[in-house]
Amino acid sequence: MNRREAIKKSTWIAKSAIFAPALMSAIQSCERKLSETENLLVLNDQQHRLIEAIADTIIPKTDTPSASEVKVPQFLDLLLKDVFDQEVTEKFLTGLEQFDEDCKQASGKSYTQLDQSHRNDYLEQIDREVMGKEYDTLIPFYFTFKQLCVRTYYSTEQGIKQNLNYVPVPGQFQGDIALGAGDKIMVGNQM
Amino acid sequence: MCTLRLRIALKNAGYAVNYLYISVMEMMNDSNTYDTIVVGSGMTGGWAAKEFTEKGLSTLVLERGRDVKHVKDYPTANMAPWEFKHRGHLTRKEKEQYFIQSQKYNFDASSKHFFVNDQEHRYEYPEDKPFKWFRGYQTGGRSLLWGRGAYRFSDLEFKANAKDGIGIDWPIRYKDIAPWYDYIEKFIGVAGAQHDVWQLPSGKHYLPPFELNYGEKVVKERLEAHYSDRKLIPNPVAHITKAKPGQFKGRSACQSRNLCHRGCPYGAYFSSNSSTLPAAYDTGNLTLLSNTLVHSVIYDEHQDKAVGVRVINTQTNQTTEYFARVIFLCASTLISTAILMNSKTSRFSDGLANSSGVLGHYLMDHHSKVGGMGIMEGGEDRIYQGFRPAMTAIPRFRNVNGQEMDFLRGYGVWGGAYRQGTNAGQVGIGAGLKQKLTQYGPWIMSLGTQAETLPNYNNQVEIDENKNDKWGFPMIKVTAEYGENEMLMREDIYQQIEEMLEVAGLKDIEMHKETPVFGDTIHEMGTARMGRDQSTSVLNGYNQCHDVPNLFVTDGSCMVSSGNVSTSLTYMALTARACDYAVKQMKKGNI
Repeated sequence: MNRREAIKKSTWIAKSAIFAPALMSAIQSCERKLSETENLLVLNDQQHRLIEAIADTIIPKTDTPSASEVKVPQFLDLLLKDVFDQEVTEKFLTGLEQFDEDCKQASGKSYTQLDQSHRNDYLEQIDREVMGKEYDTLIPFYFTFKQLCVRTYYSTEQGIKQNLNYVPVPGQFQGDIALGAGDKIMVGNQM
Repeated sequence: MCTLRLRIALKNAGYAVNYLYISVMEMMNDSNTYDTIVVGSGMTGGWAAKEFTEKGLSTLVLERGRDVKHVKDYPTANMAPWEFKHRGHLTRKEKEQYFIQSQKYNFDASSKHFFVNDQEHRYEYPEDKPFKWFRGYQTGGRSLLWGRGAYRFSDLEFKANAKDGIGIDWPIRYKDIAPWYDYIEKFIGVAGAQHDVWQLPSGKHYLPPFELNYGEKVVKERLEAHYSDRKLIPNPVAHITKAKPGQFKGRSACQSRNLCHRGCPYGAYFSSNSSTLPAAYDTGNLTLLSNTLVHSVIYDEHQDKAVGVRVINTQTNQTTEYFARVIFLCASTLISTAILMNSKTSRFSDGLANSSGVLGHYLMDHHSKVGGMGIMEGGEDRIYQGFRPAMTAIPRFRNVNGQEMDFLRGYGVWGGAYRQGTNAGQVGIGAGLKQKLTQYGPWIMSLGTQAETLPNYNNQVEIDENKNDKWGFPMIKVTAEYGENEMLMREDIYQQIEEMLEVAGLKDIEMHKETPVFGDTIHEMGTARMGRDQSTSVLNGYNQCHDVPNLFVTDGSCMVSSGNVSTSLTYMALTARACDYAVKQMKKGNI
């Protein structure tokens, strides 16, 4: 890895370490039920279903797998347990809860209870409002959530192999060649 | 062993007398006595091992870490991201155990086994002067992890101190080391471009450089059209880009995976593990002991020379002594210096070979972490094939042909262009997003720096004999900070990088400048410097201790000034040169 890779990597980690609720709305403290399912580490079933619903709306099944088909929610659960600081985990879970509260305010239903077309409509609004911007200190929950989802998806075997041009051993480096319209991003085994 | 020595002695009459002497010592303790002892198996220790063993000398290499065999002990080399439990993320536990090491760009689950556990390997620094010490204790040391930039110093560096009246003059000039750069480059394989930038000489044995990509070609053209004093070149790197069969024994060409820090199963980049140590083993003259920490050098007052080393087995804590005619310290700057400090005698009460009193002082590291990046318009239909383990460089252009700035010395600029990959921050959800995520984004050009640090007496390493680590080696304490000259230079670096990104026609330029932390560039050096005058230096022009002629130090300790380019190639060249000198002195019976 070289200098530019390091810059990209650290920028992302720095940003992802800070979470704030969706659309900067106030954090509400709530009692949380812990995981009841043996397979889950930190998330409870409702949180897991919610993550699955949002993640599969961001990355649905097409001719390639959806986010949940490659176990993106389970990996986020693992990050909450082993990777994030306690404080970040708290903020993530609060942000997730706030996301659903906002959805209930707007639609009268939990996001998990919406049908897929309403899920799309609702998330599109949030996505347009939050993404493609830069943030200084407070980063909206959804901003981080989406990036985590996408990056996790592209760290899975099927996420990579079925969507991108996976070339673990490229051979001799060629510096300047033509890129065809529609040619996919080439990735190897770097993390 | 004795038979072998006899054979060599007969073959080379020059050694005959000396071998007779060795055999007397061997009668005392044959199994613990060698012709040469090399402390450390990294960048320089590997070279000392290769040079001595190839000249027929029985050589003991002492490595404090575990053994790492080329290929066999690179467990992650071919693993895919999804095969790592936490993929690219560091766990809280890893960040606790490796609280310093994990801050380095090439530390992750695929490479952490080549870094020390910070909780086990403590060192100290004053609260207001942080020092970051990145280490790999294993066969090959940090040669497994290095950035692989293989740069020559020029007389711009070797004459710098004399010209500015800073520190002391280097005892050597470019002409003294140039043949040794050739020698090293030929063996390790350096991919680089032939160019006429005199302050960063190119080597005659260079392999073809890694190609520039489209973005870099555009930037090169624009920069070179604008600045008469700047060239953008592929940085020379210790990688095999092209090899004739058998040219590099057991090593083959780079496969552009850019996973170097996991250890290369192709042996495409230079490490002790892939290159020098196998060559040394092939001679039959190498003994390498792992988990063997050198506590001190044994100095014999009556013979007035170093006779051996005292070691501690890091697994059993057992102490042993080994003996040799010549001892090379190649244990990395801070460790070699600390070993000398820990080898006090009545004659050398401030540390062995320290009659000058400069041992431990004049610690240097380069400074870095000023840079910027910008987006390039156009070139959407150009791409590269593979993941290049190299960058581009704009060699030093400040104060090259005379003092022109309000600071001394200079800096180089490094960087590269790439197409933006999966852009997770973009607007969009669903099938449309999935499609867009598979497509490359624009060209991005990024530039950073590596800059020279002046030698300063107050920047130093010490040992605290009242506080031992768990193996009984004194605690190492580093006190160092950057000075006014470095800070002034950083202002200019920031301005120049911003200006160059603008000249290159880039948009949305983002600049950054961090507070530099000593050690962070991982080029610690200078604490047992070379010099002509034994009252102001520890080593002479052949890395030989002025005070103890059969003791040499050839790692970064010997550096007199830092230059701005990475120093490994210079350490290797100085080591091979010192070995050549030491063997000649042995033949003459001088040591």
